[in-house]
Amino acid sequence: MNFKENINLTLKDLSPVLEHTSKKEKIWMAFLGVIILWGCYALYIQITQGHIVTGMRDNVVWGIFIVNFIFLIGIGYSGSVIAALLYLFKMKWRFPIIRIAMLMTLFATITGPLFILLCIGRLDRLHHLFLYARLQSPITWDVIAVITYLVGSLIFLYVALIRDFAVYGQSKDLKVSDGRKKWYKRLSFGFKNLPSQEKHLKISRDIIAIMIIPIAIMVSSILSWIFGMTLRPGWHSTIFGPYFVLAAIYSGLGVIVILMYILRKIYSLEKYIKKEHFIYMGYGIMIFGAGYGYFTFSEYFTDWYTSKAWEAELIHKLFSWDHYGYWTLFANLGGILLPLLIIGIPKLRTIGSITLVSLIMVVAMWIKRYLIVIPTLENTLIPMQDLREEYVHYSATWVEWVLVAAGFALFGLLFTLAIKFVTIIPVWQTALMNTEEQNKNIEKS
Amino acid sequence: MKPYLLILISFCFFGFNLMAQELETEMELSYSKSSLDSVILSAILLDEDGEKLSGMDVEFFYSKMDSLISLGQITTNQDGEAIISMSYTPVLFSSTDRRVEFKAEFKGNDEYYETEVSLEIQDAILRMTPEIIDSVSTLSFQLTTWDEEGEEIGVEDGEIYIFVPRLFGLLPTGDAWTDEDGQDAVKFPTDIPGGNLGELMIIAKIEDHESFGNLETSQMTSWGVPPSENEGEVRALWSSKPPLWMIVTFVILMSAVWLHYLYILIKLRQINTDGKNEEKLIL
Repeated sequence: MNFKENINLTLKDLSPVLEHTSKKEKIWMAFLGVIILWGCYALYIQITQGHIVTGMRDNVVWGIFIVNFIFLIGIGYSGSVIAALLYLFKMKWRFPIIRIAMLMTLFATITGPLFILLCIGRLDRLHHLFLYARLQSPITWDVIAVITYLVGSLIFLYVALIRDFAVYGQSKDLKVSDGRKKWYKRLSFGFKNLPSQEKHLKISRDIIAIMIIPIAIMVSSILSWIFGMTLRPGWHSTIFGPYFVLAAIYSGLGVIVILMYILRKIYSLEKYIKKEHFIYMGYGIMIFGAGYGYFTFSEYFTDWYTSKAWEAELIHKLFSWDHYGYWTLFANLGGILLPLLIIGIPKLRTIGSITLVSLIMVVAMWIKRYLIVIPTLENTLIPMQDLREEYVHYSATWVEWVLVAAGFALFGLLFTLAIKFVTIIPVWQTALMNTEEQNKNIEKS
Repeated sequence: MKPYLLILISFCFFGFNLMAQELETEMELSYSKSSLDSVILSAILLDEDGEKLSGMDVEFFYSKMDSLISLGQITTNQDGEAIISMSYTPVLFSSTDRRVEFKAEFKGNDEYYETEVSLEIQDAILRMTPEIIDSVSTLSFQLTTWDEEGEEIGVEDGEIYIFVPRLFGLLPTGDAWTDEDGQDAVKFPTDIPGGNLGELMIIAKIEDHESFGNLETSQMTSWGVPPSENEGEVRALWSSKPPLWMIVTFVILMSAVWLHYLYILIKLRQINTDGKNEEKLIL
């Protein structure tokens, strides 16, 4: 079977998702749309009545919006890093994972910063962030870094998609509208697999793959410095940069596994997304989980051992059953020990178990972000004058929870729409790999 | 059980219990006179364990012609402190040597016993004159009181502390010690930051004097160092202009990234240009 035949065969396998939208998919998208609309209503309430409708107050000025921002931006950073590493190390099994990772990156990086906007009391002054930006401020670094990373991840995704766009545009078997085919052709940028075009494309892919890793590390570090550059207990830490980078990649691996499982199940992609992919991702989770666990222990241990007044108070709060003890226990058991244990034992290493521990780990990582932000803010640096309960203890309101749900719904909707426009598995690269393997087999025989 | 025995036991239990609730109290009284010609009396009410009692009524008095005249009744605040403020008037100090006795009284209630405290104060005046003597910023002090004939006399060995107000409290800048004429002059530092025009408030205090209580006077001077006109130009984390190294690092990093993005876009353009000249199709 030659390359063209392999392309046609692969596309035939994957094209139904592009060609038809099932009733279940429509219901799913409508469901997400309703949640987003509900979020719009919550946003309207927040804008018209002010931030008093949230649980945020003078003392705890950041709530679950920031928690979600860190979480989504984190998985956004990890997707590109994972895709770039798999590409640079020429992992042959990468193709079914790489596009899921890239799409996750793009939509998480779009959705994450929206939560920052929700934190801003005066959205009408948003442009001040640019007009009166101070280069010394980590907030300015973050704004610039997120924009730079978003553009980079978009280029990374686009460069990886060009050949598939050319296939979609030229395929006679793909039953989509002519208008859509025209769009595919435009987006393929006239790619016809000429040697010169392949060369330009390879240079572009190599450059962006090499660059996106340090950019993601820098951007993740800058996000951590928003916290680390303050003198607050629990935030002012020199290891926060690498800690955030590790945590981002770690939680991103978990989200990719969950997405792989869902997409495999819904679109019957067992032929492409195999058990080995889950196991390889599981190995990644183990490696980054161990690193993340080490950083977590180091962070808590140094704070506990030095027992400076502020840090000791925070540590007490985190480990006390009356405060955040159960949360801390879950964040560390579910976020570190469970994945290491389940994936570490070969007999327990199944698709279902890896997905389940990934799901638990991702939830635990979200809670870990909550534990980084909220208990620290509840620990005042100067004695509080106003001891109203809502000022001392943060509690998210329905408005915040609905907006958080709407954020995840937006991520889900964008992802769903994207996989209706491009195949989940890269057609070109899969066909190329199959052709190479077939040729090798022929040579051997 | 006999009814009278039950009543006796109940009386013993509840009676002793009620009696045990009444606690001893004590009070501290202090007097302050500021340069704004106001007098402040402050009484702190404590129980026998030294706990500050809030929400209790304390009445203040002063003595005149062997009789006590009420100044008013004040309820203690969260810190157990009752404060009464009034304008300084010589009527308060009507004797020739200007002595007066103040008294604070807590009448007690169901929980606490009554208590009272007295404080004898002799009127005194602390004067501060900021002046430039031989190009040196000098603070001249005079501490006076009145003798038994009603003559104003200087007070020897008056220890005066000098402060300037800062954001979080008073910054001590020196002290003075009055001579037999009640006078002293001290040099004032010339390097203390002031307002935009160099304005600087100077406060002089005598604290817990056994006869005069607390005395305070203040003067606005122009002895502060105004913020330098060029201070805003300093490149620092806290100024409007970032350090140069930060700008250089930022420009290098951003240029490196965005120029590569640009290079990739040029490459994509080349892909498009190369494709236009070929009719070849992939499929």
